[in-house]
Amino acid sequence: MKDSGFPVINTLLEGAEEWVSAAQNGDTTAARQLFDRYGAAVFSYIFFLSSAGRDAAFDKTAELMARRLAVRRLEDEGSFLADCLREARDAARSLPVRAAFDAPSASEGPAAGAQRLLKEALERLSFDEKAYLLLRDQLCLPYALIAQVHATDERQARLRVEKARLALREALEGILRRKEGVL
Amino acid sequence: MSACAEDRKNVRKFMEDLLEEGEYQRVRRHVQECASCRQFVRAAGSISSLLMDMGRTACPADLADAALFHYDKMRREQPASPPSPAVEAASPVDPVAVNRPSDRLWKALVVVLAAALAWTIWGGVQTKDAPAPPTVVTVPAVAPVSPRADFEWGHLHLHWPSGREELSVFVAALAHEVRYEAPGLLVVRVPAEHAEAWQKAIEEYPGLVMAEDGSVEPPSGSDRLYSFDYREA
Repeated sequence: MKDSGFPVINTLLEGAEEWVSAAQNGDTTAARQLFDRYGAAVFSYIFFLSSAGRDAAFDKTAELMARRLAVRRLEDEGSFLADCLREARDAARSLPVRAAFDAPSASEGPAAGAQRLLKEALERLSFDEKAYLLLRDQLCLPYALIAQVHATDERQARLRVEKARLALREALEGILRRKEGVL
Repeated sequence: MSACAEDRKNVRKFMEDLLEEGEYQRVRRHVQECASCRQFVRAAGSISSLLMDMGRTACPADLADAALFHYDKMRREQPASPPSPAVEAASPVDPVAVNRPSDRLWKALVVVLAAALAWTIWGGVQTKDAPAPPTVVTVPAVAPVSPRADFEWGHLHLHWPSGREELSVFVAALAHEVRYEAPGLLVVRVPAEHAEAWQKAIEEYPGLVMAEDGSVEPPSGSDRLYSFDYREA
């Protein structure tokens, strides 16, 4: 498989305002730039936050990003990415939870087992814990933007991420103890 | 083994979120661009590197296309309103991106197709100088309803006066020519190598009755002609 890097952290955090303005004014090229740039991050956030499955996350991501650009707002309360992620979080909260994870596929690499374990641990976290943790440790967003998404301040955002990490480690330890008897 | 000058201590600190914000974002950008450091991050097997990699494996490739489809549709449904001063004052998008050869080609294709459509639809008659048109398949005798058609960014939009939901077909990437042969009948010329992709794409639009017109030899000899009855039944 071609190494495409980490698309979820391939986000341009500066200079997107002009693209947003142009896309809101009907510039399809600008809209595509924004979808290309931010789509993976928003999709990933919904996907891992909701456990609703790929199709539901796909549809919701495409719909909410398009709406943010196509339906004009005269007063912008934040950046495009922060707005999308805030809406993604709210959408993920109401999406129906799927009963089980995807079955392992033969093409999965050696890290698949660890990722599966991590997914299971993520499921044990509260919604809010996941909502903070994913923004920093998966999307690598600045704390200022995380604070914007959650309408809080940077210090609080940092504390919430730390708390979520602790909860994730505890969940992982619990799963390992139960399944493998490793710890 | 390290093929890059980035201090691996910094990359470790990045994974553990121990860097100042500015440095964290710098290393993030570096890791995104440097294959060697990405490999290092993946090999570390930390929780954060696993989380980042999970995002990579989960992301669908056609997300931007789907979002763009919604964007086009929503914009058409929006009532016309004057742009805000902020929007008017803003400069357009990245000029490098806009002037890419593929974009120029794309825009040229749209202009050509739009001109062809406008000529045949609003002129109401076939041009005398046009090359001999292919014969088209016979269509059912239903009352013509004169749908309005327009062409925007590679999408053909058909609007029925009765309020039936418009039909949007993505055609520019596959079709060489779109032509109205008669009221209610559309003919599309598709290169042979794209014929299968075209058929697959068009199957998603059950409102169209499509038939490959085998009765006529296409002008180029290698193209395929498809005709559509888009009248309201």
